[in-house]
Amino acid sequence: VTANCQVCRELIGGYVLDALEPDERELVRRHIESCERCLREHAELVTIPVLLDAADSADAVPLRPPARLEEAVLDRFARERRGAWAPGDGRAGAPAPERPGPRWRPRGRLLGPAAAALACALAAVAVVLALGGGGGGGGGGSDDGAGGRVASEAAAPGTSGAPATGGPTSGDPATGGPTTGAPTTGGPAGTAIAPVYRVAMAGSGPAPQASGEARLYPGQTGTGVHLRVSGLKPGAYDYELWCVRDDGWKISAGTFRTDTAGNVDVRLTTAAKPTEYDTLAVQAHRRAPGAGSSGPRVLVGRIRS
Amino acid sequence: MSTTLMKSLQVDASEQTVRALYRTYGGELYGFAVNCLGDRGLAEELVQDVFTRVWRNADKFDPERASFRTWLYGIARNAVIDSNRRRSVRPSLPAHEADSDPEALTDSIEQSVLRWQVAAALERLTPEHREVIRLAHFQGLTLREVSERTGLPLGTVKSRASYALRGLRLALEEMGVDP
Repeated sequence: VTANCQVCRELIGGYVLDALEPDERELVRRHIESCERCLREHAELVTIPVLLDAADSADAVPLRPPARLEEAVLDRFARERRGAWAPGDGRAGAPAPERPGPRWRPRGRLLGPAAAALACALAAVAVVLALGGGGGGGGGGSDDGAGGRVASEAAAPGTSGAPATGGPTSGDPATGGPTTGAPTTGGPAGTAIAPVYRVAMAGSGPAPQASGEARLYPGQTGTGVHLRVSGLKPGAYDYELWCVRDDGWKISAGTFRTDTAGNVDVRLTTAAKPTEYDTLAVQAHRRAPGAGSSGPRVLVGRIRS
Repeated sequence: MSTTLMKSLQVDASEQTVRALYRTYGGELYGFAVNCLGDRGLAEELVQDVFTRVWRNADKFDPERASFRTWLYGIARNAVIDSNRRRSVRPSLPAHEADSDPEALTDSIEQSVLRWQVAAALERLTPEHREVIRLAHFQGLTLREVSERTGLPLGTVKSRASYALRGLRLALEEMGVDP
């Protein structure tokens, strides 16, 4: 390393940026012609200005994805991993091998202590509703339904507001799993309220004749969805229910098929909280090789008005 | 590193592996998707679709045929084509630069990814180094003029210009760009 190397190292940035005075530029040029080490450094840096031109400015801010996207990617992975996919399938459908220990847990805001406590309370109340209020007819409560708006029920245990036909019949409303240690009475007065969301769904796009209703049961491990629909095209399509926010963000609530008449009565689970989403949408996927993972929306209903 | 992660995904897919892949590529993929689709919601959807395709097709990745980034953006490219095709049959959602020409789309992908990577590399510089790049490269000042403009000693400006370029090279290398 010579004195000229020291000078060159200081000037190499300006040289590459073509921002030196003529005498300095000439000094560097001559030096790198005879110094392999400095020539190598020049070679390492000389393409940087070309790359810089790809940016609009030195202050170009790389667009960062919202934090929820990571959770959504992992949620989708977990959902498929949990039961509908095995590596190498290239498709959904094959069950994943059993693994010891929990393979999935609720994420994000569902993990917060306050949210968890609330979810526990809601799950407990929902169980009470299922066990104690299951005899009510027709779902009871207000039935807005008009124009696809939400009807959010607040049903006390044992009242006619309990979801009779729409609610789960046993266990955790979100997972359909077994009930363990569930209280048979509600908590303190004023806390035993289970919000059950009814979403009237209207046909859209290629299925204007379709209609249906979804009932959402927030629970400890997610939200149980009881979806009943008629008028869908049977046979060649699989369907996917999405919880969609007005800003375009969405999360799947699972897939289903209709019966031969185009009707469906299915219970699904999603990690979404009804309060955090605005719309439910059913998307049709053509069941064919290479058909891709998406298709038109055939049913839409607003969770929030 | 990505090849190792993909081997993990092929052998025993885990949340940690998917998370690591997302944290390595999710940002640039999202930036690319927004650039191609012009819609952040659709871009989020596309990123999810791409990662879904990645883990579903992990066994098809062959590091001897292509780098992971090349493979990933091959998937992303197809996902963009699919997305644009879907929007083209839904008039209510006009496609943003719905580029049906595969070659043009490939160029678009490379430019889009590079733009995001360079911006991310610039972001990692110190404000002082970024200032020198801004003035010397984007505004075309000589280092002497930069010194006069900023009031910094000329020697400091010269050193910063060199350090800034070395910093950019390092940042780009770490993102898998071969400057």
